Amino acid sequence: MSSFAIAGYEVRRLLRDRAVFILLMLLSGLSGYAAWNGAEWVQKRDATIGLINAENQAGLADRRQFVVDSYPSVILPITRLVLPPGAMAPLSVGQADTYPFIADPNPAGNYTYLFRRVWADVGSPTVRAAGRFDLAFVIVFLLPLVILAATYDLWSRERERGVAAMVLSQPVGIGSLIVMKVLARGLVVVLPSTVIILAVAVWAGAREPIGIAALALTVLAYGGFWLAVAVIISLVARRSTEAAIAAGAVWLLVVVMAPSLSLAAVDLIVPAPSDMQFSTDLKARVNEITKRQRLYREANPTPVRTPAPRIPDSLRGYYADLVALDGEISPMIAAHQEAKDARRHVLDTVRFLLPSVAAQDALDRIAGSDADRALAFENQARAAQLELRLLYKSYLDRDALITPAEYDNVPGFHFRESGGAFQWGVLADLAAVVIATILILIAAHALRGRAALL
Amino acid sequence: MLSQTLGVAATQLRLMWRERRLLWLALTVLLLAGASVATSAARLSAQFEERRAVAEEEARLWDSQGVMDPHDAAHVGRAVPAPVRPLAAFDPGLSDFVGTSVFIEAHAQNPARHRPIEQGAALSHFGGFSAAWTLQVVAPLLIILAGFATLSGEVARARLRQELGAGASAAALVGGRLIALVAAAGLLLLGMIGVSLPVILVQRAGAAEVAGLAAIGGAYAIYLLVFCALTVAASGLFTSARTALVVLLGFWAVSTLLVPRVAPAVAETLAPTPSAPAFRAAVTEEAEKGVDVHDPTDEGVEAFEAELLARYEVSNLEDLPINFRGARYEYGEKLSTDLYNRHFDRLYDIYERQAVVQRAFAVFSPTISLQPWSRALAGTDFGAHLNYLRGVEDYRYRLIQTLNVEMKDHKPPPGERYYLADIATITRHVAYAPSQPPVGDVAAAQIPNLVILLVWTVFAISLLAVSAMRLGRLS
Repeated sequence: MSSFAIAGYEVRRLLRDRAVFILLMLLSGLSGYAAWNGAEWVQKRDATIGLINAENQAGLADRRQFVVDSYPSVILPITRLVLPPGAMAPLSVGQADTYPFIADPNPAGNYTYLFRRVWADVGSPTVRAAGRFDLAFVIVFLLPLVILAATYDLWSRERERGVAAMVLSQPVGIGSLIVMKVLARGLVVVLPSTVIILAVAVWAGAREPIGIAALALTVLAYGGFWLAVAVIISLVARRSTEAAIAAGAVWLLVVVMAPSLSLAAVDLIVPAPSDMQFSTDLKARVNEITKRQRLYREANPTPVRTPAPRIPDSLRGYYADLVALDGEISPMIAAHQEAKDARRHVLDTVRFLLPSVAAQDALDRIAGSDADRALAFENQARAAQLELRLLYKSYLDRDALITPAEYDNVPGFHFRESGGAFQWGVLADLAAVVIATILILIAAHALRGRAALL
Repeated sequence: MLSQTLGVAATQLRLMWRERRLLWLALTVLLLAGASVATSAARLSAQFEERRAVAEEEARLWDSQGVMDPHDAAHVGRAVPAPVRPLAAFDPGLSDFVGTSVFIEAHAQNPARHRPIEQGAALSHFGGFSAAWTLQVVAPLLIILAGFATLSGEVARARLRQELGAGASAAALVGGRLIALVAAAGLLLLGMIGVSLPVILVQRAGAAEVAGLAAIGGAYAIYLLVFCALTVAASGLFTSARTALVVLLGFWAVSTLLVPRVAPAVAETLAPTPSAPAFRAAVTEEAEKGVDVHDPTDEGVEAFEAELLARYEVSNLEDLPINFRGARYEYGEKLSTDLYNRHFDRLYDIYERQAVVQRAFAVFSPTISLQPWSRALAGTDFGAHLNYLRGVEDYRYRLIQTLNVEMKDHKPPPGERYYLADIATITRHVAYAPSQPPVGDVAAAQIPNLVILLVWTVFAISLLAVSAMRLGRLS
């Protein structure tokens, strides 16, 4: 009996199995709804950004009038900065709801101003707590259930029906038999599932070719992992009922319990630094510094210049105090940021041990809703604020008012994407899933003799 | 009949005891849940200390402002941390998804900030393990695994025929199996509550929290009874153990995992919440149409001025017996507070509509009605958060208006532009006192969810009766 004959028989049997068809239909329905949810989220985010852009335009026009009127100050074209959704955004909402996507780079504001007035989430906490029903959820949580439901009785069914002995009496190795059976299931279940997911993703607006390729690879790698799980279950479980229980238990462990307990362990070992405490401590420090600066200014008033400068010296004093303030609070901010980065580093490292988390991370990165992209936005926004500060300072130093032409020509902010669908993080995630799959297959190879126990 | 039923239950418990794998699984789950309660309690204890320290520091900063213009102090503002709920160790509910402090200031109501869920990574998607989650999701799974083959499958059917042939009634056989499963589930529940109670008592919990935990325990008992009854019923209705298992696992996956995720998504679609910038823009737009108390030339301010001059029967502001600036800010604060209240009430109405939509999904899942009950009694639902927000808003309004009234009652000294006052002294009597509604009121608000759970119980018991009748025909 050739391997192809076994595979052909398996494929024919699976194609006749109505349960597989029903499972794929179920997956189509759920994926469609999830993709629609993702598209709706993107639409809402785009509408919000549109609102911000409209406010920016109105603000620019208002400020420009001051420039035209030669108002004695440094009037810069300050707009709120936005992080647009990625090209594959309908795929996963990821961390996009938990990081700022709007920043206010006012050069006259200190560190706390960047996200102070523009960031607050008023979304329903109940909805947030339940988690988004997006394509990433379907892939990470539900696709394994579909695969396990179609493959849990990979070998136990033959054992129960008493045909295992007959099959093993044929000139075919048990290893290649199991491999062919699992490949057939991959062909009939995982491949169509991947096609369904890709189709609904494209329908929802995720149309970047390289992103689609990365999505396909992620789904196939993750699907492959669950097929490997099905192989090892089939080798260990003697009966289909046992196999079903084992499949459910492994799913619960890999997708729910292990990540949840890992997160609880990280929370215990590396707790998140308190933003509330930091905020109050920072406020206390800022109060102390500004009070000292105010007393100094009162004791040492700026001498009145003759002729008076075009931009009042009070603004230069304010700017000098602002720079000094930022210099004094920067160690405090750096320490808090370091603590947050350390925790995030642990969270990022733990994901390599958990295939479901690695898959979620890969999907978030492909969708551009991962933490790293949000942090890149924060860094770029801060850099933009510093650039504006330098521009502000240059006008103060030259005592020159900005002209309407200069005002119009100050370059705007555009978020610079740093990765792409095949960024290092995605490749690392895929490698983690593939390594986990290989380890399971090695274990399965070691246990292959069990399949012959009838 | 009763002795027959109890005899069957005792036999079933012996069989379950022999199936050590499930016992070990249950003990492992209990251990993990216990560890979760203990670690959550440690985290809550740290949060309590942190929030106490923040509240003290904020009070110190407020009091240290010294003598200044009261309206400047109103703009300095202060943060008010949220109270820590001891029962969050059992059911964290929405604790990680709502802000933990509100920054209060003049003219504006800020949303709560510093949500623990912020600044996470991909792993943060997978949070939520708790004793409550274990009882909501894992305990039903254990019940199904322990009971799906109790009446189905070749061995169980053969034994059943013998028992029926020996004169046992189908009702006693089914009832006995239900009692056995309920007893096992009850032990798990008692274990979970037993682990939680001492930990919660250490967390400065009072009688209200203990009563809350008792009410939570009662609801979970009903919930687990539903799963026990459905498991035994399905086991009786399906001859094949495999079919019974597949049906029950399907129901478990849909009711405990899928529906709790789909229901909020559908609710968000049917009653969408605005984005934060859209919400802010709506408030700002209405505010811009209203009175700008910082601008003396504003039409609204001029109308208020005219009304005040008429009331005091004087012709110019200097002749007023009060400080017009303070009166203006007091008036403006009333207007802006009404404005924010209207907008926030609209937002909370959307949340409420979403809750109604979600409740409709309880038709498919008893978990949907249990979750709000558990969270509400644990003080970790949106109602509890709203209670905190309203308490803070009440405090904010009293504090800001105290500053405004102080200013209104004192004209600036001759030659001075502003009236200055010691901020600590004039606001000493204004305090924030967090309040918690009585457990009875919280439970009363959750009656619809309890009724739905009871309907599920009736349905499950009815299905069990149908199952017993069908089995009776076997004899």
